[in-house]
Amino acid sequence: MTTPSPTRDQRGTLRLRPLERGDEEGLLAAWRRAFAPLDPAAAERSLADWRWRFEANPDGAQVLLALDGEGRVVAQFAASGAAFELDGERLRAGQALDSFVDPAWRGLGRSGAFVRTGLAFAEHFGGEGLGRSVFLWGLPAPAALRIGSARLGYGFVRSVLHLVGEPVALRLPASGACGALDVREVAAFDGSHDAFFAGEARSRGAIAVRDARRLTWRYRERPDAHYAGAEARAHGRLAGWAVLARGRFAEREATLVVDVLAEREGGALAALTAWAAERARADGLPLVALVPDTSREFLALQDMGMRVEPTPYTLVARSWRRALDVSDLRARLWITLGDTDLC
Amino acid sequence: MAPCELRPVEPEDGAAVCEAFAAAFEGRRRDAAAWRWAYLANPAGRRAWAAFAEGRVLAHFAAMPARALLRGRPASVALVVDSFARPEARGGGGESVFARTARAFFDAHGGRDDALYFGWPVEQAWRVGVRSLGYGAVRTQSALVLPPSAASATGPEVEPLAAFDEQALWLFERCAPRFSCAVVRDADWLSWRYLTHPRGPARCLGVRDDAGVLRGLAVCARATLEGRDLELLLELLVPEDEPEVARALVHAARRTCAEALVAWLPERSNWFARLQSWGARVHPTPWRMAARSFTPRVDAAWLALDDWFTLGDSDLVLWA
Repeated sequence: MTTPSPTRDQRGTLRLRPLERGDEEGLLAAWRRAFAPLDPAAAERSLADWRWRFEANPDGAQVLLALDGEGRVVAQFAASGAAFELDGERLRAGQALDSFVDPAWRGLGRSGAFVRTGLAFAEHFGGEGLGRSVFLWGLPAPAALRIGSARLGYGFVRSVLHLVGEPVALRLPASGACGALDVREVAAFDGSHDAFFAGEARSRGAIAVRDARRLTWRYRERPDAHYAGAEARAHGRLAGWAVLARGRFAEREATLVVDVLAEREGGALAALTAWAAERARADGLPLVALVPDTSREFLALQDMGMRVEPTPYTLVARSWRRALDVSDLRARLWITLGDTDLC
Repeated sequence: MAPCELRPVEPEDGAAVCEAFAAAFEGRRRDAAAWRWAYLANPAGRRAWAAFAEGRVLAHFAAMPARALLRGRPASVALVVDSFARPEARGGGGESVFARTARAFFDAHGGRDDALYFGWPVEQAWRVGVRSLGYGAVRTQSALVLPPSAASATGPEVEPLAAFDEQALWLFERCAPRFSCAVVRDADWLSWRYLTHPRGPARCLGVRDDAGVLRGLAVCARATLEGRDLELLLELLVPEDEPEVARALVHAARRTCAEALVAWLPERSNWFARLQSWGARVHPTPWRMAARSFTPRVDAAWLALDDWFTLGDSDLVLWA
């Protein structure tokens, strides 16, 4: 059913259920109707991109739909799954995204379609156990943030800051002057990434697993997306890696450091940033990065000459584990652009 | 627990409030002089409610009001301070005495006297505030940190300010069009806030033009925070088209023996970017700014867009 639902007078007939095979076309049509007024570019999402994000995600996805009396999708609450590592434990979590309500069904009351869908999502997918997420995080739009904070248990984690630098102004090691480090562009991720992540995760708090399987899905299998990846190796041993993309973030066209993970010692972060800056210089664009403000990388990138700017985003989360409080995530939740749906 | 009376705090309650504060916060105290300064000497008035039982304060909720501009119009806003309950008055079934005290406060003052309440609550107060008192998150608080500098001064001459007069308001009014919400930095507020505090006057600096009119001002204070000896830039009031004035003031503030100069400036202000260009690094802090609005179309998210709340607006070092 791809035609719009005419009215919300049939609120009483709203049916809430998880996504089923065959829903995709109608869902996508409803999503485009909801997002087109806000962001025409975003509303051009293809079915292939949707399938990549929601069907091909190695960590799964969770989708809860609201349908009107005639089976048309009028609202969605969804999350893109990710396995997280936290204090040595692997747990299921994800980014809440793509939540929407058909314009004809918008309303802020408790019985509104968006709230009912969000509550049903939490009931179906929140918690411990198979198919459920221990916590969800997201970067909601202002209206969703207000509703979610008031009705759906969104907890404030932190304001999102990012880093910007003009490549020529950055204080970086010159090409070839990275000591024992060898920085090379790579087209694939291999098992060395699994071991590298296992070593780095311990010091990162709550971080989505960045093994070869996940990285390949994220950066090599996405339709119509172009990411450049590089590794820094010290005598053949992986010391860090980064992924770049050209894109738009916080109202600026830039070369984006989509993801980066580097050892504390040895200069891998500087070497990878130098590679990124070279790419940005070739693009004629500023370099942009997003790392947690509580991370060592946040200060290190400033030392290299990047400056901090705000973004329009607020990071929120909801946890279904009593021992994992949203306040704890303030300093512990490791999120880069690569964890989001922003690029 | 004996039934309690919820009522406004009166001048004669000061000792009881200070005693309860000490009971609530082990190892900390609020002395009588500081209490009088905060609650009796504020030119904008007093806002404090408490739950009393058998002559003792069980819970306390207060705010320090100030004249402000909100959406370009005069308003009163208030910094929430000293929200606490005695250990034996915490928990239990039903609504806590602290929550009841806070509700009584907001019922008495919210919207009627004050358009907006704001603050940087500690974790427990944050939880209660978000859960039960309508607090919204404005931002996680970052800090701009500059190393001290012994370099010679360049640019406009910076002079100490021993007093504030009508020129402070002129200066604020030059800066104010940029602010969606800001406490009015007039002589009354600046004098009370920085020159009459019991711990002694803060270091006030100014730059004047050839006619003697203030082009910009800054206020600094030395404090020990988390074991670090810091110089805090409490105020930086300079119109955006006078960067050389701001730079001179910041430079003067950095001429200190402290480990670093620390400022809290809204991330969307041009000064946040400018201080970085002068060598400041942005560091996280454990603080989050919260707000509760009683004004239509003004909420915490809106406040974060163009507010001017700085370290001087907080109580972080009021009592140090």
